[in-house]
Amino acid sequence: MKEGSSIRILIADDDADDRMLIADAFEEANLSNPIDFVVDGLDLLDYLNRHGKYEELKDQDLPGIILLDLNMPRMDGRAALAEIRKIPAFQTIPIVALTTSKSEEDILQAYNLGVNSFITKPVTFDGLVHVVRLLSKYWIENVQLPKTQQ
Amino acid sequence: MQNKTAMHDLFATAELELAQNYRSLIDDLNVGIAIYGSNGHLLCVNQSYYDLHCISTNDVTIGMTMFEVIEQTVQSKKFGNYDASKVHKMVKDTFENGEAFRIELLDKNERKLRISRHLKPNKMVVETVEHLAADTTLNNFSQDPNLKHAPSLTMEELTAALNRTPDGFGLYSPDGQLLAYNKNYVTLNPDIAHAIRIGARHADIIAAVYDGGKVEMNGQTREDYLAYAKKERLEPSGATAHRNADGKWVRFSAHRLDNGCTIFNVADITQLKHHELLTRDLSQQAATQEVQLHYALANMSQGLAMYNERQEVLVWNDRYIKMTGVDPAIMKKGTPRIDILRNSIERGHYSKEKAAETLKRYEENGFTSKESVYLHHLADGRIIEVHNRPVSNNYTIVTMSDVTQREHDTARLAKYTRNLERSNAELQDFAYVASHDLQEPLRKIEAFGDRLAKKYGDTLPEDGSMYLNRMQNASSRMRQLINDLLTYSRLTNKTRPFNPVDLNDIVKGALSDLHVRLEETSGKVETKGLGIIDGDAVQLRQLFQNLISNALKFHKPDEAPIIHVNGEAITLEDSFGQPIAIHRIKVSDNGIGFDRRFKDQIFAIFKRLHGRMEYEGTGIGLSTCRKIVDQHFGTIEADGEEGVGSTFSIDIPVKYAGEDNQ
Repeated sequence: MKEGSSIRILIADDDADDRMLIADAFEEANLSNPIDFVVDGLDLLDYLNRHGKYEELKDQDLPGIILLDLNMPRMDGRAALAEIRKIPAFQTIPIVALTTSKSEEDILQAYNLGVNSFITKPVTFDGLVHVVRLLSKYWIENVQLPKTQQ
Repeated sequence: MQNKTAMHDLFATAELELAQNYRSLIDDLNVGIAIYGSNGHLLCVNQSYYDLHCISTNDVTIGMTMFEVIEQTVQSKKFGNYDASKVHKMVKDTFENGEAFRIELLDKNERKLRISRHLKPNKMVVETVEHLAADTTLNNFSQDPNLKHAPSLTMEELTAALNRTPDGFGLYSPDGQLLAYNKNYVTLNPDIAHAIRIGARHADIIAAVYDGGKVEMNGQTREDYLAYAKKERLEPSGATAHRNADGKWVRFSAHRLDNGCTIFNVADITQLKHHELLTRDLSQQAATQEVQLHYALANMSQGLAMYNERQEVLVWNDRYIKMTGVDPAIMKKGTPRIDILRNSIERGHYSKEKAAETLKRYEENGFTSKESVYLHHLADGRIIEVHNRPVSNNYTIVTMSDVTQREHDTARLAKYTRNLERSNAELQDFAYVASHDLQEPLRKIEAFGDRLAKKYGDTLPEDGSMYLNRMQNASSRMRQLINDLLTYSRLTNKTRPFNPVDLNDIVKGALSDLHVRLEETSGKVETKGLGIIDGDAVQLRQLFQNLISNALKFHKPDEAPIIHVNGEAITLEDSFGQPIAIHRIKVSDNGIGFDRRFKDQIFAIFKRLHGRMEYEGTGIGLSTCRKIVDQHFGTIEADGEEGVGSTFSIDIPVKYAGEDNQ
């Protein structure tokens, strides 16, 4: 188990503004964890499998948590989720759906596909900072997870 | 052999066709009548016959022989002894030898009856039974049924006997002097009663008839008439009938006797004449009806034809020929329907695409005898609706109506409705999608605005902070607008099934959402009489939340808002005049009110009656209220007075009547 502060956070979001705001929120919350970004489902799978442009990350640890947007081009969050949960090595990575949707249908589907939490993107930046703090407190500082293996 | 003669026809017609009317007249006669065919079987009998014989209708029935009938009728009579062989002989005599039979006897109630039978020239026998007045004494000769031929009678005796017959008799000498006459000879000639006396000359009596002017002479001169009457006396040629001034119809017939005398017989034929006239009336009526029917058919705007069970045409009108386009020359009684269709198609009356298909269908399946309605498309673009109606005897009535205009209108209306529905749906979708997609960039504007304020707010010059502030206010207003628009458009996008909803719970729920505002304004909400209605709980909660929050918002600056939410069960009439149970809810406040002029505009979307600086709001709240009430098939009205308050009155049906009734 690594120190909480060194856990790598992976953010999958196609929206550059949102990627920036989430990163800002981490900064605002005084969390200094390393953050990586991917822009859609295929990009996310490449990252986890160390394919293509992510080949050089071979020796790097897998992310300790994935914040996943559901609506993305090429491969959306739901499809990516289904793929990730099929691979044993990735099954224990906590995945939090962080999306604009708050429809019952999306929430139920996401949990069925294996998200650990479902959070609607807060409307205000303060709200986003609050969410990031909660996530960090829970998933990074408190929850015990089995060690992930490369 | 049975001659179809007038009498038989008359009764046969009476039996078969004019049944009730005609029959009741015969039955009304106080003379019993039984008519036997030439084969001796009973053809017709009236009610008086049964009554006078004191027998029931089961005792004597149509088809029995005369012998059997007599057997039945003697049961009720006072006879010393009944001799069947004598009756047989009497029947035989009547039919074969034409012997007239007349007997007067007593029935078991001691009433006097006269029974007579006559062989008519057509070989039928008419039997009459009549009741004689109690004071009539029976002659010796007629009391004895065995006595068929009376001994020589004196003229007085004969006259006395003849006085009892219903007919009138007058006996004239060869040179035309009246020798004897009976009572009814005068009764049945009332117009010349004064001229009738023993010894009067026939020519004088006839002259009295002519001079009396009561008898229709058809333009004959006095001389002609006298000559005609004389000739009739000397060489009787048959019967004549006329109507007396008293309204009675009489028939005259004359018979020349071997000794050169002539006996005139006058019979009252009023009843028979009435029947004859009635028959003529009925047939005239039928003829008139036929003309009227023909006229009605010819002037119908529809084509009409009747086909028999073999689908051969029996009746049709001109319009039918025009609408089928058939060659009028082939329209004959009995033309098969398929030939009419073929002919119409050959003449190019039907549109080419449909004709072959139609013909094939009928050639294979025939014409249905079931009720059916279908359309014919004609080559000239007209559309004809054909209606087959089965009627009795497996006949079919076919009507054709030109429905071109109706079909075009229906098609246009359907197209218009489809377009309207589509554009409505598009508009709904647009409002939803637009407001939904507007949320995304707005969230960014707000978020980056927040970042800017937080990170660099301190370092911005005063006017820079002011701009940023205004930007953030504007975006927050936009968020409210978008949220309200989403709520509004979701009202029609999402329809949930209606359930019984307790309005008390609904208002309670709305108040819990508003508790902060209630506290801020020290507002009070009082409810009374709220009931249960069918509806969508979420929408109804939104309705009350909007109305109450409006009332809280527009309170007077120096007065705490007091809001009354009152329910009342009432009954109104729906558009068909049927009573319908309604829950009427009034939400009234003591707020600033509004000018009555705006009571309708107030519900229009984005309509605001106040500046944004005075009262916040998007102008969508009351539009949403109206939409919710619409969705509940109700009505909402606003009333108010500036400086006094506002009242919103809502009528919603208690029971949801289902989509069909709306």
